[in-house]
Amino acid sequence: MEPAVMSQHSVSLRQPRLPIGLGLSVLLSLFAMGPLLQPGYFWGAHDARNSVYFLYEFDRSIRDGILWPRWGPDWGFGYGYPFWNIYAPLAYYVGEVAVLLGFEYTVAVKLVFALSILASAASMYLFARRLLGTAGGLLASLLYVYAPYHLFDLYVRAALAESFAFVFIPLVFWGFFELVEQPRLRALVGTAFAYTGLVLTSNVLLVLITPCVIVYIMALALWRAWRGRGSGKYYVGPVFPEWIRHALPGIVAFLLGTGLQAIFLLPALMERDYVRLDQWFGGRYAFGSDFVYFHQLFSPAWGFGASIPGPDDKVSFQLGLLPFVLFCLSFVVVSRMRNDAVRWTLRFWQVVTIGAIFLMTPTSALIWHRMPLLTTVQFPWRLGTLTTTGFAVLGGAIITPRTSSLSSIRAGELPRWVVRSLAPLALLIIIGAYPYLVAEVRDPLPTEGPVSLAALFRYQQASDEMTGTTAWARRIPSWSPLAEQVVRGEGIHTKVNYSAIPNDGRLGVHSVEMSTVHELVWVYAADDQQSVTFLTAYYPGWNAYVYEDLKHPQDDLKARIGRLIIRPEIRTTPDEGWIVVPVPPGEHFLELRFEDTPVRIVGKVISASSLVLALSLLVLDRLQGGWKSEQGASVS
Amino acid sequence: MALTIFVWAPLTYPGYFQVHSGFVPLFNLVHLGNTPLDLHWTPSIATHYDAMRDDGLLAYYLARLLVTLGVSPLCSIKVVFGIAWMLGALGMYRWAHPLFGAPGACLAALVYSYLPYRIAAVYVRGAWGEALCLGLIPLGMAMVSAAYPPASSKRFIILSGLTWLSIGLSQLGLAGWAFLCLLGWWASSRDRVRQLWRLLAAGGGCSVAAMYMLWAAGWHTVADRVGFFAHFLYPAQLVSPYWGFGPSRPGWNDGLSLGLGLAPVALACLTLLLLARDVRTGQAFLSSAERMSWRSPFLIAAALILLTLPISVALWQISALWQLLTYPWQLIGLAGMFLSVATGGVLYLQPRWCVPPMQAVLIGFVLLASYSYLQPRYTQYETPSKPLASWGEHRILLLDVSMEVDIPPIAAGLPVSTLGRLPLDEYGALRPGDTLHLMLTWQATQVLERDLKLFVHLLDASGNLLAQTDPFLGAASDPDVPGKDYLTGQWQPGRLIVTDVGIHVPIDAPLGPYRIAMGLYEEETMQRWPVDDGKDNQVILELLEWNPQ
Repeated sequence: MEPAVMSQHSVSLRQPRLPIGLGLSVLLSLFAMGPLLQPGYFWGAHDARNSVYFLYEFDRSIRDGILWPRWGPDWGFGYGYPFWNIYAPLAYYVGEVAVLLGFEYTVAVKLVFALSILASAASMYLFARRLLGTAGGLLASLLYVYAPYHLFDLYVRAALAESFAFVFIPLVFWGFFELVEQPRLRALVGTAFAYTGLVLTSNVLLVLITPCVIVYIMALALWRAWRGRGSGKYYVGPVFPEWIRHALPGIVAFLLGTGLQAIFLLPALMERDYVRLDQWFGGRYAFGSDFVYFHQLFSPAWGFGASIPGPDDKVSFQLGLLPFVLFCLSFVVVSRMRNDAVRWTLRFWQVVTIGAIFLMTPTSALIWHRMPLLTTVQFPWRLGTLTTTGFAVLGGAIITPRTSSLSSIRAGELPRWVVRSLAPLALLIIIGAYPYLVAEVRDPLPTEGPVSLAALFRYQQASDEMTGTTAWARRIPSWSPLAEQVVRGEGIHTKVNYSAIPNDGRLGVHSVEMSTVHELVWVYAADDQQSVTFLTAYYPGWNAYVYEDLKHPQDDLKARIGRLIIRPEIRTTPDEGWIVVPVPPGEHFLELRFEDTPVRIVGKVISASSLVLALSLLVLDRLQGGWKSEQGASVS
Repeated sequence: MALTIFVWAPLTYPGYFQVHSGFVPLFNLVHLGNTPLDLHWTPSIATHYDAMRDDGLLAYYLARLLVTLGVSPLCSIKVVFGIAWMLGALGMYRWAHPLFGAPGACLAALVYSYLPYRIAAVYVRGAWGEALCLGLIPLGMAMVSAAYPPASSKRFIILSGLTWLSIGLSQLGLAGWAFLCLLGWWASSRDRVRQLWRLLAAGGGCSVAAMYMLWAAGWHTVADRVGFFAHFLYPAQLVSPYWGFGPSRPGWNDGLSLGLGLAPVALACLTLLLLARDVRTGQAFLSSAERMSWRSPFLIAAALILLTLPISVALWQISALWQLLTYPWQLIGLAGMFLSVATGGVLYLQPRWCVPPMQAVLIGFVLLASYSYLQPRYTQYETPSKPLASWGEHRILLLDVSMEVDIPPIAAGLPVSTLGRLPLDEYGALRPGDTLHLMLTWQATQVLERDLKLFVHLLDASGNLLAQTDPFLGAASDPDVPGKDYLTGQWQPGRLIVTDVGIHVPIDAPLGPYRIAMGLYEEETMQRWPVDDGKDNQVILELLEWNPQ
């Protein structure tokens, strides 16, 4: 279809060639990476230490051969915690690649941040370019990268997962836009993967973005059905099937994405309550006192302190001057847009942005309290991800010509006023963000680093971070014999609680081998009243196995392991929630292993099936494409 | 109007600002609220009212109206500031619209809203009368210079008179200068005859305001309080990006920004360049009258700027117009206003820039140029309804005294003394052996030239001296750096300073009741500063009696 004859409602798939705009958007986002190029690490940033030690723990599991880690062995002073079972891990997979390539943990984290900047610039460019053309895409990508909230996430909070999630937000909305406007298999699979990427990167954004995505699909599909009805040919009733037809590809992609995420999502939802949730949502993470006061949204203040109750936070929650100015002007521009699909997408973002701003302020408290699930985002200012996205897309609209079809916006066809105003606008956006491109790089305190297991335990003790424990523990640990051992310079070679073994000779335990998710011990019990206590917090998935001891060969304990005799039922200590395994009388081998629960297995199966389906669809799309091109060639 | 949000957003802070005027407007608003209707009322709490130079009565009466409607006094003051911003934007838009059309007027309104001088007037100086006056003046200019109403439009004549009456009631001295500017503007106008009646109405409004203000204040003005002729600006200050919260000091080193602002200067220069280009190419403004009307904002602004510089001293002395203002740099507000109106010409002369992206560039530039200034010194201090005492003709105010006692071993049940303290109210009466801490909250309203000492005397019931301490006022009281000295010579007007003064009750002192006498003195001369509105040079604080039974 040629641009000149396109309907004013349609959106062409033909776009200007990628490299120029994409290259520029990535190139201009390099300034945002400036603080990452400094030597050292911003140890003082809010989550900077968490990011490093999460990666450290992730790496420990990967090096143990666990490709989808769920258990963090050194959380809670070495008692362990199912962190990755309930916390989205994708950003740490990316970091792990860097670690495996030989980079230090801090450098690996910085590389992930850097990658997130470049990739988010590119992804926003791609989404906005689809709606607004090259110039609009470029402007949107700059607004996205240099948004104060984005920089706050990068350099003040050092929130690795949320920063990395910025890559996927535009891709998700781009994908669903395509599925309503120009549904096709490749877009369907791509959208499912983008949505999966988002959910596997940040739990918080799962809660924030998913409702928006659903509304987005339904609203776009409804509008598409409505405008396709012709001039008053039929009314609401007949529109309904059309609405569903247009929404269907999006719904399928959403379901496929949900299927792909099942490996994480299912256990995270079903087994979430088996950890102490008060540690996630209580104390300083309790919802309700961290609303953003109105003046803070428009204040140029910047800081590296904490978010505290009241109006005097030591950090900035500003919306950003340039993004807000462009947002205001978007109300003038959007109403004049002739392309319906684009106009309504932009109107959707206007509503979302206003809604998100409202929900950040204390006046919305009542709404939050009516929706308990929403309060799992902990801090209302996290809606900054939505305002940042909205401001970027809408800001890009400022520079978009009022053409009837987007395909006419070619690099060479840009009106002169667009070309003239692009450079100063881009410059202003960068200059506006320039004072905030600062990170507090410093040497680690002894309680922070350099990265090691001992430093991790000292960090846990000093900060009360990464001290999570499971629902079986009444008491939250503040130190442990394991941590003490490590700080003294010894390693952790066993988690058997030898202090609980009676010294009357009725129980003997010898650790044979240990990894992050299992321990094998030889055990002797004089009677059936004996049990072995492990300094490991119980959580579903921990199973115990008792094997026969073959007694020979004498010098190779592992070779003596015989058949499985019994799977004893695990008990826990009342206060600490440590694992207690009763052992039968005699000499045996006891293995404690962290395994998949039925929920996790179901999750894995669903994800694997979804992956196979997605790849099959891609192959099908490829075959169809090849078949069509062959047909075209034979016709010509 | 929507884009002015950044400039008034700080007003929504749930508290107030540490501004040069301190809490004086608040004290007087509370006083006005408690006073039966009295047309003679003028601010009298912690101030010697100067009808010509001080904040006018309109701001007080507007806020009083809001208080009557149930708004808190503090909030009312902030609402008046907000009204001033809004009126300024609206007035500038109205004034510039007939000249440059909507896009130009919008730009001019934004430039004026984000004028650094106006931001400083609100968030650094807390000059609410002046802020209101600067908000009203463009509206007054618009009323007189508007080209569209018919010459005989009675409505506009009345509105013009009322607006200028309001301007006069907001800040009389500045209103006088604004009226002189209006005369200049009118003289260069093409529609002098059409505007004559409105001009006369404006003059009438101003005169009525002057008569009322002077009548209310008792037909007297206060002498020059700060040394007008020591506060001329140095040219560098006009273009300096410096921002501060300090006071105006003689010489070049003022503690606050007195610049014209990057955006007004740059865009006004751009207008001039575009104008010169058009004149050179013969594209516009062929008639000399038109040229004159375009030049007039620049000429008036230039004249006003010149009057802030030391070279104009003789002019001020001859004219005696200095009696209208506290500082010569107050004319920067008016100069900025004329530059702002001139900036609207950019979009008029370059209509190709009237597309959203270029408007966004211009608006972004204007806002970005002033954005960093929009960080007032906030405070959530709960303001009393009036100061406890003041010294040096209200130059230092004592706002609050709270008393705490070191927890002695007996009271804490501990064998050794601790670092803890108890509020005196909870502790009970002071006893021999106790250490009393006075937490004194101070606020200066003007610059203090020297470091003052504070005396705190512990007296018995008969007035005999039991113990005393004489620290420098502000020792170890820096609000920014804990433990650092912040002596009175360094105090910035409006800053809240909490000093902790300890005094030990001798163990052999008789039992109470005790009294605390405190005051200020100069170390060099040992001269005590008299307490304002008081009969003595010390403040007496009664302490509770301790009954050992």
